[in-house]
Order: sequence, then structure tokens, then C-alpha cells
Amino acid sequence: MNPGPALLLLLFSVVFQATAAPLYRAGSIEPDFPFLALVYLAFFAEPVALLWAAVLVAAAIDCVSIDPFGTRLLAFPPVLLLLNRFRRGFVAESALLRCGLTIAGCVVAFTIEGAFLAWKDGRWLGLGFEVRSALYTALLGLAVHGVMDRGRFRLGWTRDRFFA
Amino acid sequence: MSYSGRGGWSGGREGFGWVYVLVLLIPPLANLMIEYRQRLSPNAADHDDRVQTSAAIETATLRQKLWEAERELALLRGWSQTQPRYHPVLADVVHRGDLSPRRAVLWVRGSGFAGVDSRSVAVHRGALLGRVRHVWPEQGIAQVQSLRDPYMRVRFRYDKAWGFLWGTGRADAQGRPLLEIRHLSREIAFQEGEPVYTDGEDGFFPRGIMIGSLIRSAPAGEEGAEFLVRGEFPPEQVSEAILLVESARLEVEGLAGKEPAR
Repeated sequence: MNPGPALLLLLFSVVFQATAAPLYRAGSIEPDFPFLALVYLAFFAEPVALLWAAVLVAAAIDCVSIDPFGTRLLAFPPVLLLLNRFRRGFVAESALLRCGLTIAGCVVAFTIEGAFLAWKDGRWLGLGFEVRSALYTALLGLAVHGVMDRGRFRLGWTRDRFFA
Repeated sequence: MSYSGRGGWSGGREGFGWVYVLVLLIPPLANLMIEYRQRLSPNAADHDDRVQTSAAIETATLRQKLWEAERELALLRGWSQTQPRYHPVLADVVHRGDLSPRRAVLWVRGSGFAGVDSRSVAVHRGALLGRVRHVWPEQGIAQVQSLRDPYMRVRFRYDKAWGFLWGTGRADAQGRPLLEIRHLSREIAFQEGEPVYTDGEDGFFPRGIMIGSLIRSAPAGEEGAEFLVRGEFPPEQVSEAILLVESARLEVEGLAGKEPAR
């Protein structure tokens, strides 16, 4: 995988989260675009490159966000590595299967974030909130990943590149 | 759905590209329509802020003078130290989200944010908007945790009772944030529509700033109806804010600046 487009994708997702995420607010929930971008990378990137990307993005967001430092750092890397481990060629290429994997990843990651915030900020918003956020994010992820697919083949991000 | 080669169903995604883009455009368009309707609503906040801002500065200045007078009076009467004094700093609101999807913040910018820190609060027309959490003084940028943030907590006073207001992340039809009442110090009969003010004893918020009005979560008499506090302004529609900075901090910084270099 060429790291240039991957970095651009992550940078764009972070900027998009800061500028456009409020427009995607549905009630009290918002999607997490940087996590969707990382999930997409998890389908195609090497584990070490993915780990670096996850740690860097999580640390950068934790530094700027009002969430306590470590919220994403604790949630993103293990979940993404698990997704990376569980995904297979046929999963990464199937819109429905990877949507299911995205939902599972979002539920686990957001629950870890919620639990960390409950510890640090003293408030647990409830598993229902986390599941709703995960479902909404994954639903949008279906479309986001679909749009990313348009450029993916041109960049050579195919399932056969790194995974047998 | 079409088979894409070795072991994969692509779903014909290349052909569906524009459909995905259209799907991604639905939520922002829906939200923009809702916001447009809120702005047209007679209950929505007035957006012609220029005249109102000078009135708000005047209000903040008068409130500060009142605090000072109260403090002097308390000292003359031999009471203990009461509340600190605050200095108003005008700022423009920049509507950008937080990188955390579960948070609700406002970004504000101004020409000089000297003294602004995490103990500063943001008000708009005398009503509380939120609390400063991050500040970059050199750049004149600050991040304000708004009342809509689910992790927001404010100690309030209503008549002889005090308690805490917790953010819910929810808003009413006009986009004004809703807060839950928790940890009430004593039982008290709330009156719908009555204003609720900051208590000033939590170490973060100055005393006597209006937080919002009491409303019922459901029509009176219905089972499960409880009182909530509704913020005065939809954070998304506020264009200017006043940051209240502790005067003591400014004085300390001023004194430090006057010290000769060693």
C-alpha cells in the first residue's frame, strides 16, 4: 500500500470530522469519520502500518478534542488490529460483510471509549447510546467505504496485495 | 450484486458510486433544512447581533460592577470573601465541531485572549453558553464546551435550593440544549418558565449567570413528566460570545509583565 493516499485519506477524514460532522448529527449522535477511514485501512493495510496509523490518528484527536487523553488511544488500535485480523479477502470485498464487521468494530470501540469516559468524566451514557452511534456510523460507513472503493482499485489497494 | 473475482461479492460498487455520494448528502441536507426552519421559527434567536452585542457587553459590565459592589459591601459588613470579579472579552463564534463525535463544542476567536483559561466561561446576551476547555492565546482561539455536551455539569441555584445540571446531548425543536436536574439539595416546587442561574460555588462558573428556563419533559400531569432546564440559545445559531475572565488573573499577569527582566 502506498502510504501517501492513506495519509491523505486520514487527514481528510479528520478535517471532515471537524468541519462537517455537525451536519451529520442525528439527535444526540454523530458519526466518527476518522474511525471509518481507519476501518477501511484495516481491510487492506498491513498490520504494522495500520497500528502506526491508528496510534497517530488516535493521539492527534485526543490532543485536540476535549475528551481526556487516551480515550481513542485505548479504543482504536486493539479494535482495528482485531478487524485486520478477522477480515479475509471475501469480507473486505463484500459491502454487506464488511458493514457487519464495521458495526462490530464500532460497537466495541465506542463502548471502550464510553467506559473510559465514564471512568475519567464520571458519566456513563449507556450501552444504548454507544450501539446507536455505532449503527449510525456503520450505516454511513457503507456509503463512505463505497465512495472510497471508487479510487481504491486505481491505487492498487486490492485484497491480494498483502493478504493471501 | 456482481461477483468481483476470486471469492468476493463487490455489490457492483463501481457503478453505485454516485448513489453512495447521494446517500452521504442526505443527512447534511436534512440538517440544513431543519436549521433553516429553526431560524424561521418565531421562537428562534434573533441573529442581528450587532446592536445586541453592545447591550450584552453593557450587561456584563454592569453585572461585574454589581459583583464588585456586593463584594465591597460584604467586606464592610465583615462577611467572608464572596465572589471573584470578571472581565468581559468579546469573541466571534466559529461553528466547527469537536473531533470527538460524542462532544458538543463551540470554537471562539478574538483579537486577544490574555487571561482566558479553563476557568473562563462563555455567555451570550447574559445567558450561559458554556465553559472554556482549551485555549490557544497566541492564536486567539478557544474551545468552549457547550451546554449541549452530554458531559457538561453546572451547579445551579433556584430559590433556596441548589443542585447540578447535567448535559443530555439533546435539544428542543428550536435547537436549544436540554439539561437534566441532578443532586438537588432539597425538595422544592419548580415553576415552569422560571429562569435558573449559576450558583458560583462549583469553582468554574461565576455566580448569577442565567443558564436557562425550567420546562417539563412532558405535559403536566402525565406520568413520568419531570422538570428539565432548557438553555436560552441554540449554540449552532450564536454568532458572538463574551468570555468572562477572572480579573484577578489579569491583574496577576499584568503585574508579572511589569516586572523587570532578570
